[in-house]
Amino acid sequence: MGSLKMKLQFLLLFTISLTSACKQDDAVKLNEQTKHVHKTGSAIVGKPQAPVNLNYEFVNTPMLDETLDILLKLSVESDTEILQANYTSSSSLLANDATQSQIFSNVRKGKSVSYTIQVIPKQPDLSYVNVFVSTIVNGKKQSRAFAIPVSIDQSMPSSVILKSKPQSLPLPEGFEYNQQQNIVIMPAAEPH
Amino acid sequence: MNQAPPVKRMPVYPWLFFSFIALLYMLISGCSSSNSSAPVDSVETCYDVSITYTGFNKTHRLCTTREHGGNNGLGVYRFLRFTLPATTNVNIQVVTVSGINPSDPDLVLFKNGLMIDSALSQAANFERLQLTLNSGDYTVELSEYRYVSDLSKSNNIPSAIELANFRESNIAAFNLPAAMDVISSPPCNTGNDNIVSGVVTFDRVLHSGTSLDYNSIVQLPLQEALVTVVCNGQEYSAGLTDQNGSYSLSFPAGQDSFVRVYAQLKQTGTPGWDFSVVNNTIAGQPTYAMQNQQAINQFVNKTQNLHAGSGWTGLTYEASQRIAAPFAILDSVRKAKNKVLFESPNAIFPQLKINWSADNTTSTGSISLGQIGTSFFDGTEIFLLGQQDNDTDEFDEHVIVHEWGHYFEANFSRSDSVGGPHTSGDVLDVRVAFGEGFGNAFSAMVLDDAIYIDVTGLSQSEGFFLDVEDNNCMNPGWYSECSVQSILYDLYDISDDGADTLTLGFSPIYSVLTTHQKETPAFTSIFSFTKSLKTIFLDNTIDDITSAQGIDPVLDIYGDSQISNNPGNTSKLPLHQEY
Repeated sequence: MGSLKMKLQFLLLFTISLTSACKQDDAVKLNEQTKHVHKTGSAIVGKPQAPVNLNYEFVNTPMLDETLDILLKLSVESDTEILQANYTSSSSLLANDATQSQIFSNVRKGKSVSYTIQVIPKQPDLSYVNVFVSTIVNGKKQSRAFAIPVSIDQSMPSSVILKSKPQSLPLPEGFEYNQQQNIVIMPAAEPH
Repeated sequence: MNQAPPVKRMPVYPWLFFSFIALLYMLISGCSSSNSSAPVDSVETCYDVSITYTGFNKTHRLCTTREHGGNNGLGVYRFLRFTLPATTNVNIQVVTVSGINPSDPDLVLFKNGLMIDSALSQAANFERLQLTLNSGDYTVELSEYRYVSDLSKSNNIPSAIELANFRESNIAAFNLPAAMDVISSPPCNTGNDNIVSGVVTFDRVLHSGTSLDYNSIVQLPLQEALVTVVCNGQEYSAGLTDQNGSYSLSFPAGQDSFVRVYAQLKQTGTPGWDFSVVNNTIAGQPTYAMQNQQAINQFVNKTQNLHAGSGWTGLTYEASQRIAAPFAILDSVRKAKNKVLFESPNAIFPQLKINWSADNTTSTGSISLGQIGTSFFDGTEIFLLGQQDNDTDEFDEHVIVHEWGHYFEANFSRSDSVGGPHTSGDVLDVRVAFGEGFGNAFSAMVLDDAIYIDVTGLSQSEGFFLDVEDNNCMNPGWYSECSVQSILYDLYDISDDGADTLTLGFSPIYSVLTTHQKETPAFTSIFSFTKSLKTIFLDNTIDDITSAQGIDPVLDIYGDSQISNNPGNTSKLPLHQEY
């Protein structure tokens, strides 16, 4: 009986904590709902894309030298007979899948298909898994690239870094940043 | 003595059990209420929208929907219009009558495309706008925020907040205290000048299908670029390359000088422009430049050619040799600029930064880290992708000119587009359809090449393409960017196909875009454009071209003449509800 009591008390505490978490989540969503009004000429307008979508989530937390499962959810904007996804990763992310490719047939608009890929972070730095999703539109193959950032250091989200101080990525060898003139000087070839 | 019966204590377990059930209910209901702000299915939400002023009170029922998907699909925004005969107090009120509950309607008031006021509260099922307005034509945008905030499509366009953070950090970069006092070097001596001259070239990797073909790399002259001679770290002389990439500048004999070529087109005065390719992953967004490595210090004239190589090694780009990209981008911008300059020889182009980095990738997050999501124009600057084995755009001229086309719209014409993700077969908000269709058509006009190619993939071997000349659009109509690009390009090009028997060239298109379209009281669309074009060119064959895309003959700027083309399960017509 005592055991049942303990179990129920645990359930109560667990539920309270979940409720609290749910409220926190709501607060975040409210902040995110800050409305922005577009004005003439101020909208952010991008290039056209192949009519495919990718959502992803990490099944587990990225850890150095440990397998990271990434769940990919693919969807299309019109019915397609063939949907193909390939992925590659930088050398700092070891792909744990020999084929690195997946083909789905008869994918319907509004329905998503999903599969899980595995990579092993070998360095703590920011790395990317590149996913290329292809579909057939009017008999022609159309592809779209997605990049999934993987970073071991979860303590410093990039937006926080941005707000605190300006940052710069390193330049390739031979490039020089002249801060006074605000230019990046690259070495030209000098043909005769 | 009667002993009081023992009080029967209720066991703790039922309390705990009931508490658990109650809290579980709270949890579910609380979270489900938060879930109600998550993407909503294609339920139609309808409102009674009233406009009231002295002697006038009318109500119409308008409905919004997200049945076409995304936050910029047709029906997410609905439009109404009214004309005031005199200055008066106006009340615009919207009350939800059916559909999602609670709904969150919003109102934004425009006059000739300029936002006058908005009502964006989070009040449930209600919104109101009260203000004093002058006489004239007004348009109102009604939207359901629950649909506007739906990101069911992969929206890899950075948010306004990310862009604001980026701008803030770059302004901060200029305000940082100097690490050390910079002592200016003395200027180099003048009076004993020689001439350094040469040719500046860059690699352009051509396309093969939707791939970059590294067996087809051509060396092209870099035209109109800013070239300087630098001596002691200071500019000694400056000029521009000509159409052959040639330059000729003075340098001081006997002193170490370098020839520096900027990824910048710059001309002051009238006409004038300042387009520069900059690095968004370095604080301060520095401009790219290249220069020779061996100092020039001769006492005789010198020939110094400079070349920007692609950096392709056969398998990959060598980062330290990837010099051509900023100059290839600059060359595409030059072509677009000259297309406009031909129509308007005294044009003054507002300054434009084109952000490119080899780290710019399709992930969104920190723009300073190169996580730009996609190539885009944000109303002020252009951002272009550059990460190899993901998506590179430096040799995708149509992509660059498409984005420059948005810059043109924002500064020479007008676009009321709300932006967002888009593709050819989408059923889009009419303003988005026109803006994106124009961007695609404009790129084909500038480059005189109807095949729009955008390479992606491992070794840049996959991609996306569209044929701007192709009239067989999926979901054709006034809400289709494919239809808009097909119409605009058919009006422009010299080859007749299908219903296209016209060859107007760019001049009338430019003329309409920079006058009527810029000032139209309607929202910018294929209707405002076509009606204006028909007013100037009394040619009924324009209707033949638009009709081939399923658009009823265009008789007005508002689209009131549209009767038959009303896609989806819910009515989107009239496009502008008249009061």
